[in-house]
Amino acid sequence: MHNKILVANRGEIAIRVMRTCREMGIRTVGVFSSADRTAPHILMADEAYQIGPPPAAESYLKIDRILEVAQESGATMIHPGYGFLSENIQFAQAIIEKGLTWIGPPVKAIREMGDKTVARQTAIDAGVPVVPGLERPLTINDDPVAISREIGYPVLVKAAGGGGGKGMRIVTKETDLVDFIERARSEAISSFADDRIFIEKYLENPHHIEIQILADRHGNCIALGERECSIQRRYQKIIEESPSPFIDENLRRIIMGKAVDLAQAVGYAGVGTVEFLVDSQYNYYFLEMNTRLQVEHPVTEMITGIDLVRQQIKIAQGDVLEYSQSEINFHGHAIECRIYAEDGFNNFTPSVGTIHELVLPDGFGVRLDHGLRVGEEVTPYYDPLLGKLIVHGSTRAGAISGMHRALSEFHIVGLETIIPLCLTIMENTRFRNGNYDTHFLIDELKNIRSQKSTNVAEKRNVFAVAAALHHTMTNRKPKITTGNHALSNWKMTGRQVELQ
Amino acid sequence: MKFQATVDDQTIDFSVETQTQGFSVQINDSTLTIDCIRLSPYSYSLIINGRSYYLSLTNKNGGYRITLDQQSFCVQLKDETQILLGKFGLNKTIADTTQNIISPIPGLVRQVFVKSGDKIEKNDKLLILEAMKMENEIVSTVSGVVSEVYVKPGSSKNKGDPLLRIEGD
Repeated sequence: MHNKILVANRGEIAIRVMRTCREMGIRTVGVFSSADRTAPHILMADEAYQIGPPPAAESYLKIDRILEVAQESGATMIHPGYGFLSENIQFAQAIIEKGLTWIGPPVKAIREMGDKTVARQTAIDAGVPVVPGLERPLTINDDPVAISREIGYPVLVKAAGGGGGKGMRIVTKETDLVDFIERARSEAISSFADDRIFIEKYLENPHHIEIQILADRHGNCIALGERECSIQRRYQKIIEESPSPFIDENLRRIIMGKAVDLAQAVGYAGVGTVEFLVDSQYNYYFLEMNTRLQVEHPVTEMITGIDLVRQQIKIAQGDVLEYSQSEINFHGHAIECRIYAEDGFNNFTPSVGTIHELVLPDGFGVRLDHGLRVGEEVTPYYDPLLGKLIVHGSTRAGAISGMHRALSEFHIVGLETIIPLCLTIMENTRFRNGNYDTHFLIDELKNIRSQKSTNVAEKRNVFAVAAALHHTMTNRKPKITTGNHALSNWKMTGRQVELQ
Repeated sequence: MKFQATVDDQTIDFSVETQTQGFSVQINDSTLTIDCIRLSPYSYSLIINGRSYYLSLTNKNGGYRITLDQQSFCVQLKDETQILLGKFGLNKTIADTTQNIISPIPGLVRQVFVKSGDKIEKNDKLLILEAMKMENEIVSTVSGVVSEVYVKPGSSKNKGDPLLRIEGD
C-alpha cells in the first residue's frame, strides 16, 4: 500500500494533485526552488524539501535532486503534474529503476507519442486520419519552397519537440518561408535542444478538439468525451469547454473511438489526451497525443464527475478501471478560463510582481484551481499560469453567465491578468453563439479592444474622485511648526514637485 | 481642496471637502456625498448616491492605477498647488515627450527591428524579447523617432531596463 506521493511540480497543479492525495489518505511531499519557499503548494504539503535555486533547470527539472528527495522522504510514488518533467523519459525511467511508482504512462508511449514522426506513423497505422504534409523532418537536401508548393499554402512550419506555441510558425506566402523556418529552428534549439523541422498543410479556421483518454494496465481503455480548445493565442489555449458547441453526438462518438484506437495502438495506460483538428467540413485530423494530465482536465471532471488524478493514482497502482465506456455520462456544460499573469489587451505581455490583495470567486457551480496567496511574488522564472477558473452549468448559456459572474468577482491586485479579456470574451456574441474556431481571438481582439474604451466614459468621474480621496486620506502633510520659519512653504512645495 | 485628474486622456476638474462623515465632492456643477472606506492599503469601498463601488488602487508612473469592475485606468492627479504651478508653466509632465521603452519582463533580446533615426508609429514592432521560452514582440507605446537603441541581439535585460529611447511626436 502506497502512503506517500512526491509531487514534482509547483503552483496550481501541485495543489490540485495534493488535494486528491489528501482525499485518498495519502501523505504528500512537496518540492520547491528557493523562490517558492512560501508558495501555497509548500504550505499545503505534509513534507517539503528545497531542490535548488529559482531557475527551473536547476530545481524543478533536476531529476537527481528530486529522486534524492524521494529517497530521503520515503515517498513511494511520484506525480509529475504537467509541464516540467511530466513527459521526460529519463525521469520516468529513473523512477522505475529505483523501484518507485511513476504516476504516468509507460515510457514507450511517452517516447513514441513525443516524437511527431513516430506519432504520425502510429496514427496512420491505427487508421486515424492525419494532416497532409512531409512525413519526415526537413533535411539540408530538401527544397522547402518546392515542398511547400506541393502541399499548398498556407503551410505550418513546426519543430519536432514543439508545442504550446513554441517552435511553430504559419507561412502564408513563399517570401516568408525561409525566414520563418529559421525563427522556428532558433526557438526549437533554445527550448528543446532539437532542431528538426516539419512542414505540413495549415488548416484554415479549424477547431482544436481533444479527447480525454483513460486506460489501465490491463488493456482497458475508455474515452471521457471531448474538450473544445479553440480560444487560443499563438497556439496557447486560453478558454476550454466541454462539450464542444461545434461537433454533434455522431462525430463525438467517431472521434472518441479513433482516440481509443490510437491509445491502444501505443499501449497506453494512465490519463492522456488525443488532440484533433476539425475543419469547417467536419473532417478531423490527428494532431498529437499528450501523455500526461492536461491543464484543462477539470472541464472533463466537471461534466463526468470523475476525479482524473484519483484515476491516475489507481491506474499507477495497477488497479483495473473503475468504469466501462457505457457507464460514462455527461452532465451539463463546463467552461474553464486560464488565468495568466499577462496583459490581454497589450499583446499578452507577461506581468510579474507581488500579489497585494486577492478576492476569489465562489458560489454555485464555481471551481477555482489556483496557487495564489497575498504577499506571494509572481516571478519570471515559471509559467505565467496563476490558476484556472472552472464553472459548471446545466446548459452552455448557464455556464457562460456563471463564468461571467465569477470573473467579475475575481480580483488579483498587483499584477496584470487576462481576467478582463476573459470577461469580454464571455460577452462576445460569436462566443455566446458557439460560433468560433481557432482564429477567434485574432479576429475579435480588435473589436474587443475598442469595446473596452467605449465603456469607460461613465466611470471616468469615479476613477478621478477615487484618486483624490486616496490622496486626501493618505497624504496628510505635516503642519509647519514655528521652528521651521527659515523655510518658505512655496520653496518647499516647488522642490517637492521637482523631485517627483 | 481643488483637484485635477487625467483619466484616459480626459481632464476632469473637481473639488473635495472632508466632512464629519465621508466627503463632499463638487463635480460637473453637482454635489456628491461620498461614503469612502479604506479596506486595505490597496482597496476602497465607495458608496455614491446609493451605488456601491469596490476599487483597487496601486501606484504607477507617478500616478495611480485604479481598477473598477475589471477595468483599469491610470489616473494622474494634481492637487491645488500643482494646478497652480501648472498655470505658471512649471509643469514638467506636459513638456517632456521623450520616452524610454522599458522592458516589461526580464528576458533576452533576440532581434531588433529599428535603428536610431527611424520614424515609428504606435504599435510598430521594435524588437523580440525572449522570456519564459516564448518570443515576445515588443511594440512601441508611442509614435515618434527612435533617438537611441540601448540593446543589441543577445543582450540580457531585466524588468524595467530601458530598451530604446523615442522622441515623441
